[in-house]
Amino acid sequence: MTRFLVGGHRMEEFQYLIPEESIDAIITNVSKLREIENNLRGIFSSHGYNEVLMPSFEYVDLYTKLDCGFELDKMFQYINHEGKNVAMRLDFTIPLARLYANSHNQDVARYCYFGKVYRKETMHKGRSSEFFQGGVELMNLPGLQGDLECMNMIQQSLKYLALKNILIELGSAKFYNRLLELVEDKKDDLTHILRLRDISGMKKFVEENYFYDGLNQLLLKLPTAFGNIDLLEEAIDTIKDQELKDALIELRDLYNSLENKEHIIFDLGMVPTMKYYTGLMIKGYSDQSASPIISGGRYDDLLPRFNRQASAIGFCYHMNHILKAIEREGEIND
Amino acid sequence: MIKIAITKGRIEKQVCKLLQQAGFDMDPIINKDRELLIETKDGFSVIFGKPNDVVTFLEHGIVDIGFVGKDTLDDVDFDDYDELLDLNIGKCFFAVAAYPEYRTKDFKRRKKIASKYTNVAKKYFASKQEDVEIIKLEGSVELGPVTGISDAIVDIVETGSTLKANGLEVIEKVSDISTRLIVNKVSFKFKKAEIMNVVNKLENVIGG
Repeated sequence: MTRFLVGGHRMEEFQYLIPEESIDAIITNVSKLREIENNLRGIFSSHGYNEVLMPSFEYVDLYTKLDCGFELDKMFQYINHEGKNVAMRLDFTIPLARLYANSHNQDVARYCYFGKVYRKETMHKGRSSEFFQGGVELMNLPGLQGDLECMNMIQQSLKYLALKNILIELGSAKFYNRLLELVEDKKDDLTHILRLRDISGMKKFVEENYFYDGLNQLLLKLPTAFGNIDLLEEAIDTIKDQELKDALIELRDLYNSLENKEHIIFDLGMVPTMKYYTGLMIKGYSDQSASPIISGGRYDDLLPRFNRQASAIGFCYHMNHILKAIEREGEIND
Repeated sequence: MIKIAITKGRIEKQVCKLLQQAGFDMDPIINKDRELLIETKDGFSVIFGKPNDVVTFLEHGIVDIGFVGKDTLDDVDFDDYDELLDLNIGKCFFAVAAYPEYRTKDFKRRKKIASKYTNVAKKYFASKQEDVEIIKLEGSVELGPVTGISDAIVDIVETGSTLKANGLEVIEKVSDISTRLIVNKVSFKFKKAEIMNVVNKLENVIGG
């Protein structure tokens, strides 16, 4: 064991080192974190959201057996006294879906939360394994009405994040799912290409398959098909497939209903990060953060997996990334 | 301003040539001495690094664009980038290589495979439903079969001359490799026009 002399006292490693998994960021900026958290809490509660404190431990089965797309190797787990695998909380959405599905609440439910999730990350890559999140889940308010409530809250919140350049990007899981239907047995290839926005790969994909001309034209555009409302309008005008068109019209209707239309862009090539997304998908970016600062979406497919026929939508703020972005922006201005 | 990281060495030379053909000013890079960071007239701020470091810089948003081989992308555990272009340069392939006897030998134990690209090797044998032991070697991987530490290797094959000189041959091809242009996903949102300017001009010179 390495020992160092500090002020005449020998110190052992545990006295000054923290494990690499542990978070090191939220030390200097706690007051900023609490300030943002309180502002978000204010917005959530003004819209009727109830704050919930969720358990820190969940059965691994909860995350794996519903086929949501969680990776087993990201979980911190142990075997409990029942011989069952238990994981540290990996996400808030699934436990909250369980909470609502098992409640006898037949009405709209509004939950909000603040807390950490734990995910194993690669060592020595400048990443920690603790993520501080704050967010909401809106149960049983389907369609435009629910989407709009969430988007209006996001728009209201942006001024409290203290970041200069923010983009809120909207995508559609309906659009994506219809694309997969259209390419039939080439679903995995298309998903791979879209995830990488691979222009060369898409060219090859279109050449090697014999889709109809209109679809080919659309596919070739998808890797770079993100931008403002004009891009969305143009796509609605040119796309012939009614289901694809309807998915985009939903996005336009949402946009047109927004109280505040600033910061909004659209991505036609967005791939769902969670398998249960069914409609609107949301990503928020700051030019000072290499990862999204906000993410969420409509997941009408999740509550049915708990045998509850109800819709849901939610989003969350990635507080670590927001704080890091604020710090970086400060350094630039100094 | 676009920030770019280029893999040092052969990729650097080939990429600079391509960018030059695409009409960008590459003189300060071609004439560089030992500088690690160089700015060009086109508003590029360029750094040079080892392949894995190019990916790390991009992952952290330190650079917007990276030029790196598919071999590196296949082996790193980070995949949240946009891989916009296959530049069709630096072409070679991953292969399993060994002495010719490997083909017919009846292994009574797990095969031992040496590679610098352990993830690639692991994924490949897993996809063939074969359980093998993987031994990491950092360079001159051919030493695996030569010294007997492994039965075969998974490595990059370009001309195959090093293999041949040591009596080894390609047993199976694993996958194609070439140099790719990758982009940080968030940078792409904020700097689309600038990044697409580079992409479109490069597309014109690489053709097809």
